[in-house]
Amino acid sequence: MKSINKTIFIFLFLLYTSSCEKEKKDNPYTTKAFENGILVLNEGLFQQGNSSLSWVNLKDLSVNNSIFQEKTGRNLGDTGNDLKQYGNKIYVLVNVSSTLEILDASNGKPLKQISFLNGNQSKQPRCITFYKSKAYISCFDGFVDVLDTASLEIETRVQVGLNPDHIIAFNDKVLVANSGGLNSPNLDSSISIINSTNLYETKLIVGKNPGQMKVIDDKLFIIIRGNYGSIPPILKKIDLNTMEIIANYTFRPSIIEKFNSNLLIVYEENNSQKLGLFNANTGNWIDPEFISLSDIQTLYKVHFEPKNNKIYLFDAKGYTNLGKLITHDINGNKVQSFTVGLNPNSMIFFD
Amino acid sequence: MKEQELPEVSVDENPIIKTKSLNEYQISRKEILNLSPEDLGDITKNIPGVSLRSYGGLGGMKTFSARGFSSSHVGIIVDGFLIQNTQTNQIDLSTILIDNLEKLTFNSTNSIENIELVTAYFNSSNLKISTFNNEVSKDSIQLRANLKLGSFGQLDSYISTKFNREKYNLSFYFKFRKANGNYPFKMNNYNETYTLFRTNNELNELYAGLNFSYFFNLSSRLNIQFQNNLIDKGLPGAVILYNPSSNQSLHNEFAKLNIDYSFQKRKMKARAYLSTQYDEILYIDSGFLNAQGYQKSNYFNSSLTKGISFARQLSTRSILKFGSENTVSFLKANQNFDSEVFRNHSKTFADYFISTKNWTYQITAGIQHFYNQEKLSRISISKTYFNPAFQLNSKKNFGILGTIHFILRRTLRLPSFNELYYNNIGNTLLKPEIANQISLGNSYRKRIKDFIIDIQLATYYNLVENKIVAVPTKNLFVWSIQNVGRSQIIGSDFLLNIERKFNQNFSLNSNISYSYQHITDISNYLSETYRHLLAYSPKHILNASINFNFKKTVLNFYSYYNAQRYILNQNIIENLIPSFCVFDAAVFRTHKVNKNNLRYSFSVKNIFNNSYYFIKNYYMPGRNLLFSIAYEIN
Repeated sequence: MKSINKTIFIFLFLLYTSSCEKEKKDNPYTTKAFENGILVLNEGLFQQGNSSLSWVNLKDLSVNNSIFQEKTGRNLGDTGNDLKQYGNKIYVLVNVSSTLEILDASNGKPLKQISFLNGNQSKQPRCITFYKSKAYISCFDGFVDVLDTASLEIETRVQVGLNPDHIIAFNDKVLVANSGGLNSPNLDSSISIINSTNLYETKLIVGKNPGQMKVIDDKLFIIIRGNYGSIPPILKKIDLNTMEIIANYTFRPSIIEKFNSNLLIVYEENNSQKLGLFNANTGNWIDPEFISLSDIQTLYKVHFEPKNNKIYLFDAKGYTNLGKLITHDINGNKVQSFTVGLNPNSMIFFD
Repeated sequence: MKEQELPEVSVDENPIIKTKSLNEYQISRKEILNLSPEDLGDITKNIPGVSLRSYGGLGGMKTFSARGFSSSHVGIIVDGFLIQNTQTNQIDLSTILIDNLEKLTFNSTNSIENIELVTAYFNSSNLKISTFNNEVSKDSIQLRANLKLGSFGQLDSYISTKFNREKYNLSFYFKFRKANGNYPFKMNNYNETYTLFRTNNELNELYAGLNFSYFFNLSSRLNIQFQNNLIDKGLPGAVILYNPSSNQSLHNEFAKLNIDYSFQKRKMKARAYLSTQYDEILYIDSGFLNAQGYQKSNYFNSSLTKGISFARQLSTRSILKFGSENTVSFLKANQNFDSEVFRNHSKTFADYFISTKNWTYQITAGIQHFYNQEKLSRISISKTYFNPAFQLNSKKNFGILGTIHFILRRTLRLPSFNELYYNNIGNTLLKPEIANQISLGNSYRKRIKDFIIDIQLATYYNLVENKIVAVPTKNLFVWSIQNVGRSQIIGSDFLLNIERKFNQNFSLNSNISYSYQHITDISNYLSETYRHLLAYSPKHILNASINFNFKKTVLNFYSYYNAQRYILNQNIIENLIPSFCVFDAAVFRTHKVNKNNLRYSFSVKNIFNNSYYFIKNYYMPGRNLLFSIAYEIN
């Protein structure tokens, strides 16, 4: 009897250890290539730890909202804020978790997770841009971190204004919108201009609560968000050669997106949101209602993809329901729609 | 003699219905001790129909919903006075002293016998607490003292004395509790489980108070209550993946002074009362990323309530009650509010009770008026609302159904100052949230040989209108509070209690309560969440306990089950969080020392060291121990 028990025990032990071994093997999905699809960053909700990446497969029109977990075996974290590709790497900034996730752009394999904690203090990374093999990461603690994209090490920090948010690079300049959002009502009014060669920083006063920026032909378009109350949002145009403000547009913009040499602009009129096509050169509307937003519940972001000439609208669905990624053609006609994760805010297209 | 000071108003020779029902659920001191509670949340979660929301272990904020209504609809009444916070409309259950609890009653009905606080008639239900310090006793001196030592560096000491004389009672109490509060917990991160440590959870609490009663004669009493609490605690917040930093803390000072004069003359009882409360909160975030490098927010919330209430016996079978109350509340803050805010709130009710041979009927009509004002901008809102209620109770048993209880009630809760005025998100045009409830229940009690069996059941349909919710209006950072919601609650609570006394030395008591609640969003039929369960609304909650009494020793086992629930209103798998079941055990031994009680107890909570949370990412403690020694004179 004892020997039978012993045999059963050995059998169960071998069965258990062999099953453990199987679990350690790579999930085949981790090596699957990113192609013919869209990678979408879903912000999730603050303190819920439910930020995620969605993979929209354009071949079979399927959506996988757990692609990050399947590639890495862990969750992305709390409040994913920016997603960009540079060279053969994908960079995902996770604001509240204070991390930068770096993935292989060909197959999504995790390369490195960089913590943005400074002792017991979170740096809260917000947005990322790239220039000459360096990544520039705006952090809400008032700095821009400079990362070497080859060694994946942070080399230095550059102090900028209060609560820097959007960041873009143009020629040798890195432009940072200092929102001052955590100093309300004393919001910041400046953008920082960092010389990428020597990392000297200068400031230009642009208006309360600067936000999203786009550059078209040496001209910077920037949304000045105001104070969400008595000071309304406006769009400003700045000549990047002279660093002078050359135009103010008083329609109440909330989102801008480069659309070849023009701009797609989401703005508010009579308490309703509209998406117009704006001539960046003349400063006139080409079509003030280029795409109808009647089917959109909560327009969160707009993305134009020059690789396939498609416009993508991100519908956050009241911020508490799964979001939608809605594709339009270059003429503004709706093509298709995908249900993605919670609060989609940025994407990378893979052809 | 003093027991006769405030005799019950009896309606006729037959006592007014005394049957226990789930509409009036009581937890005795003995039952409270068996639970070895750390705070009022630990006790409240045992009430059928109550769903606890706990944001952590010791010192973690605890709120609850009752029969699907948020805690803002429930009045918490300690020794006849309401604890209120007009800034948030929420009372943190962890901040209410429990060492002196004698009895806790949760009722959805209006009281029949007693003259109550006027505001009690205007809440959807009330959680009433009676304390040792306010109870009238024949003993000339009484003492309660206990010392507790527990996990997470917990040291808890409490002492209370009471002097009872011919003309007066005087009672003092003092409590000090400290804990580092840090505990390990297991966290799942997709395929892996980590053991992490909850930090920034330290707690220091100090409670002191006195109660004084003066008896003018056999039927009139002046009662004065004073309490001052100081609480300092770290706020660990939600567990953020990859980011253990936590820099928030809270300092809270609360003081109350209550004065109550009551008398009885022939067929009339009356009560006049005055209550003032002061609640100061200092919130500090030493890691806040603004120009100063920290955030310091101060809130001063105070209120003054004065009221009168009468009960008049009209005949041997009927009572008429009426009363009126006015509360003035005030909030001042160093930030987040443009100016000082103010509310004047008046309530008046009339209540008629009649008893027939087999039934009792009670009809209540309440009217309330309020206006809110912001000092600088002079924004004011003025509204009047009507709150009716009807309840019916059978006096006789209907066979196996036992006694029958029915409630129809319409109440409301006013928007809090935060909802009205907080920064840009407040909305000064908010209407009150309306709570409609219909409840039908029965109670059955039977002795079968050595067993006493109690079965109680309540089924209810509740509807919340003008539900106040925060809605993002422009982007994820610009929210506004609006009356956009409607929710529907279909629920049923069941309680089974079995007692058996085997002999003089051994008895057994077991208790099972189960609540089913289907709380759905019915705001907008076009919405994705139409008829979905509301966030954090478990469908099933189960409590089970069994205690064995051997002579001087009590052994108690307790378990609590909370079903899976959604963290957002959209009922999708991504929003689902797991159910949990927690088991506790405690052993008590009581000795008589010169007619006084010396009691030791040892309890183990979360015996199986389960990792769980009520609110996502607010992990609860694993297995933890508590040893206590208590001494009681009389």
